[in-house]
Amino acid sequence: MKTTTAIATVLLTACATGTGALAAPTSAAPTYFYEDGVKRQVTPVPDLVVALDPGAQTALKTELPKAEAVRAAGHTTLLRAPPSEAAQALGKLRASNVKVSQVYREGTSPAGRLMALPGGVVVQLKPEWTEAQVAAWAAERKLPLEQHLPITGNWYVVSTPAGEASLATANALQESGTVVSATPNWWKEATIK
Amino acid sequence: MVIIPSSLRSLRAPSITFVASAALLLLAACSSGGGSSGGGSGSTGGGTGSSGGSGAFTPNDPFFPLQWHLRNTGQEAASGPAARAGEDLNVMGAWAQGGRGTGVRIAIIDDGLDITHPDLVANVAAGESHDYVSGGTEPSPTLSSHGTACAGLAAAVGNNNLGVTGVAMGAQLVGYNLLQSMVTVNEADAMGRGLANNHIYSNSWGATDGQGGLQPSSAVWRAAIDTGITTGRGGRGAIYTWAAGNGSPTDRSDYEGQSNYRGVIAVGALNNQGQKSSYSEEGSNLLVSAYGGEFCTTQTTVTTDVQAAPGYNDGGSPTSENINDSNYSRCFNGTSAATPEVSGVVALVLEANPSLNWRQMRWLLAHTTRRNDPGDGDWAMNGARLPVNHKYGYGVVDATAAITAARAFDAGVDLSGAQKTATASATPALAIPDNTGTAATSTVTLTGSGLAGLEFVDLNLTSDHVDFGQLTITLTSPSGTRSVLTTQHSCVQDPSNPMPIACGSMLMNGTRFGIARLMGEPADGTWTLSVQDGVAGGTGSISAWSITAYGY
Repeated sequence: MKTTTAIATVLLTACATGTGALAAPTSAAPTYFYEDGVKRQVTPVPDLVVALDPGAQTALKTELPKAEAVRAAGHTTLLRAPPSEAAQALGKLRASNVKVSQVYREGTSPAGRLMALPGGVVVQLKPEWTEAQVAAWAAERKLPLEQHLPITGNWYVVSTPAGEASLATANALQESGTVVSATPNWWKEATIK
Repeated sequence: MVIIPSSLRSLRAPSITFVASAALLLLAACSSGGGSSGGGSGSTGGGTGSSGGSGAFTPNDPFFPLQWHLRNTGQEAASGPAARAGEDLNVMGAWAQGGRGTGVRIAIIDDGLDITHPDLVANVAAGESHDYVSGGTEPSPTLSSHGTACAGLAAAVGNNNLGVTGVAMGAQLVGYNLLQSMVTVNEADAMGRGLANNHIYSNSWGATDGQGGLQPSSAVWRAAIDTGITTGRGGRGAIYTWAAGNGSPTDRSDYEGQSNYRGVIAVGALNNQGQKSSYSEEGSNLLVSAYGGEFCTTQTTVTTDVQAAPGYNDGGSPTSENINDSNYSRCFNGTSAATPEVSGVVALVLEANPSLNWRQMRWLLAHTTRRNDPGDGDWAMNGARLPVNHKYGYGVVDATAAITAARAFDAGVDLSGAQKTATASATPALAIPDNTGTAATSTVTLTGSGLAGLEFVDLNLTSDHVDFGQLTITLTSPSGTRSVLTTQHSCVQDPSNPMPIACGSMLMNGTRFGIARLMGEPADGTWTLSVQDGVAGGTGSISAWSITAYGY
């Protein structure tokens, strides 16, 4: 029950972004996530921010007019700005549910791939669970299930706002012991070949 | 797509000494009339839809004569040596047997697909594409033309007196513009979207190139691939082709958790001489190669380009730089180009024999390749007497040999049903000597696995070494085949600013490498891991490792 409360608190806090409950990244923000149930490190890159849809691009460029456009891929744009300005812009835009995120490097290496948090958590539940069991599990934790992925093994997407909320929710779910795995729905830098 | 660095734009390609023609065409290819360099002219076909017939067939598409990857007659390059005649996919014989890819659907997973392009539209499955931004069915790109170029190589309409010819000119196409919204959930979704109707998923994208670091795949992506290979095509398994990567020499395809996965066919790129394209990444995961060319300044592939600007050919380029129709480009290169060529060949094979499952497809391709660049020193014979090379996998795909073999397919081994697996592991806590010239070696022994032969091997390795870039890691199979997984290298923080940096610790949480080189070898016996640190300073140990053998 303690775990259930904790997850619900994480998510309720996350969902309260419209009132500014989640502001700029803090030094207490998690710097790890789980993949395959294994804890993996990420390293914040405080001078980079990312806009994850066309509306966010416009909003972020408005907030950070002097920011340097690092690169764009599809509807994702990376901007470089002084860390304090970047944090302030993220806090303001997330309060308006704009799809922006801080940026991380995968692992602890400076050569790690760039990653960000567009929102959502990918959860694998026990493969033998029925839809009713899945629904009961989600309802108990007040988790909004956004999507059932057409993949063998009971994979779902839990809805969260963009940013740290998805990381915190994913970690709380993994650490609850009630899931096979939970990992943020990462944006990871990729390329055409 | 690889853009030539501006500093090299004015350079001519280095002259290349031709190796005496010693292409080892398989009997199947020879029996179908041999390579395509001597193909005649004069169309006998009635258009793309006329599959099933036989006899010499040369498409009437006006840019077909430029498509050296389809029929290499020694076409002139913009600079550098002319294409080496005969160095192509040997598809003319497959077409002569009636192969068009009819009834096979290829999903182009990329930045978009121009579904109204006049040379694609007749092959596009209406209403079946997907836009990851709007959720609709219109994936046509507004920002780039990469997916459209890939689609043209795989399945541009052929023999329609227009533009170019696709390898599988009668195959259907759908486009999923995943790269417009590149998040984990969409990655997984794209691998299974349309699974009831798609046969092939062509992936000319992946981890960033040229950084030198490990970029593992996500668990949900792997689960999506597993779902596709077990439930796609009525249980025979969807076929996933994957670009090996363009980050050579900094990167190896081994570092990329998607191209090194057992469920995908990793494809390397060759230039117009049949040698490794300079950018194409080496790897123990490579299965086959096809043609990407080098750069536009020399010779690359000719394919479709988006109708609207900005495309690769914006219509304003001088004809020496491009061709005189902005719906097409002669400047498309990369393992991106090679991959849809293989997708096209796979479509021809599935048309010839739809009953082949995904494992049989891998086996067939590996056994019907041509050993390109025979003078290359990396060619080795694996324990099942298959030639294999870290640059090329088992060699360049041979469409004629492949569909000839497909029609009477007999692997001689049982590749039906699910793969068998077996695992062996060790926790040696073994220090890696710091730049002493000696490697840390550790062995595991697999006994009683029940596997008669290997199809693929995963190596999982955990080490706390502080700099992955200082290490050379190899795995030697019980048959003695050596698979290189990384060599000493520097990393870069940003591919656009390639200042070398230390790679840092990258193996501490355990990393999976994939090995395709051991097909047909026995699984049981002693496996040897070797980790050598070639740079003084920075230490660590091997804490745990294991192999997972997949086979029959």
